[in-house]
Amino acid sequence: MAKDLEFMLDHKLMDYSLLFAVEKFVEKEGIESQVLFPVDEISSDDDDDGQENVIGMKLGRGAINAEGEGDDSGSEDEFTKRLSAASGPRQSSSFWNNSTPTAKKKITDRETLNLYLLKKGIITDRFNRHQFLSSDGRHIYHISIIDYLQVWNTNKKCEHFAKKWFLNKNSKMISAVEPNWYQARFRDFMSHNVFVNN
Amino acid sequence: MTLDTVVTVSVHAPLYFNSIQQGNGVTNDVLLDSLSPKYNRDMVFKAGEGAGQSGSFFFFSHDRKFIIKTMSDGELKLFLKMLPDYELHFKENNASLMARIYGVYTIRMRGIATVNLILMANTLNFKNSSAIERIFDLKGSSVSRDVKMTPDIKNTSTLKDINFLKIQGS
Repeated sequence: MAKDLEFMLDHKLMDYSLLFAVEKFVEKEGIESQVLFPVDEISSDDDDDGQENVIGMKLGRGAINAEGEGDDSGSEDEFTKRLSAASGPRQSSSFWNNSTPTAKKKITDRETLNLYLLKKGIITDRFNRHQFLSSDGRHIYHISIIDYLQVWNTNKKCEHFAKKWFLNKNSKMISAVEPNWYQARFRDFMSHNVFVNN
Repeated sequence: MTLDTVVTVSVHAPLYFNSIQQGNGVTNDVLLDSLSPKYNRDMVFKAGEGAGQSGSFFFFSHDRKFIIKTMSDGELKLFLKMLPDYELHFKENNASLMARIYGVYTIRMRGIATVNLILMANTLNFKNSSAIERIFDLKGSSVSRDVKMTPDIKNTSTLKDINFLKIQGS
């Protein structure tokens, strides 16, 4: 996401939105609280200090992102391999969090999660890169950036001017603002209200 | 309009878009399936059901994998200019959250204004659409970012920043 914002700033894009949808996930025993994987992509580069970045809404705490958009090569086998790697006591696999020996296994990347849920018959479609399972496994968050083809052009400058002086709006809070501002405000809102650090 | 009307479709920058399609598992077969006129006729008539504020016309493919919407000449020009960077951005950042744009087309037909169409991924693929709790469109701005919570607001209605903060705070 930090990279996306940089990209849009470089191209003077603004007025984009974060489309954020919350979907209740099937409640089947066996996945709740077991399935958790840490954020690595959502967190911006500059707070890269090993903290888990978590999406926190009252609707369901926590969320995740992980890389691992893979192709579909050898799903079953790959899954068993990862599973056995994880259950081996001496091996600590990066896919699993084995911090305490008795801790429930946690799935830490999207592809393993997909394989796990597909195998259990809980889902029929894979999670795609816009879908994130909440840390309690009860919700799916759908997250994407949309409507990003607006440049900071004469029209938008006029809108800014008009809103500021004729409608007397707070010039910093309206949506028609200079891309730097827009980006900073967007980032701020997301990191304070949507992607909450635990 | 007669059946022999000539329709010209220009495909813009196919090489860049092919690369974006490939990077996201969009093959020709997927496109043919999703965009087949046979299944999409009805979708076109339902178009604009969720019309964005920009006033652009848009509709979903019958399987809801794609969104097709119109785009102004200005947006087209801008987008084509940044396309090389755009393609590179997805190559370098596979996990990017930006909704992928898979193609841009210009359609010319006698007697009808030229339209530019944009083919993009629909990022809201619900596993179970009856399980949707909330949908938000967030900009981080607080002016005019409130949707009135009238009784006819459904779970699938798109809410905005102020609603988000209220719900979160409750």
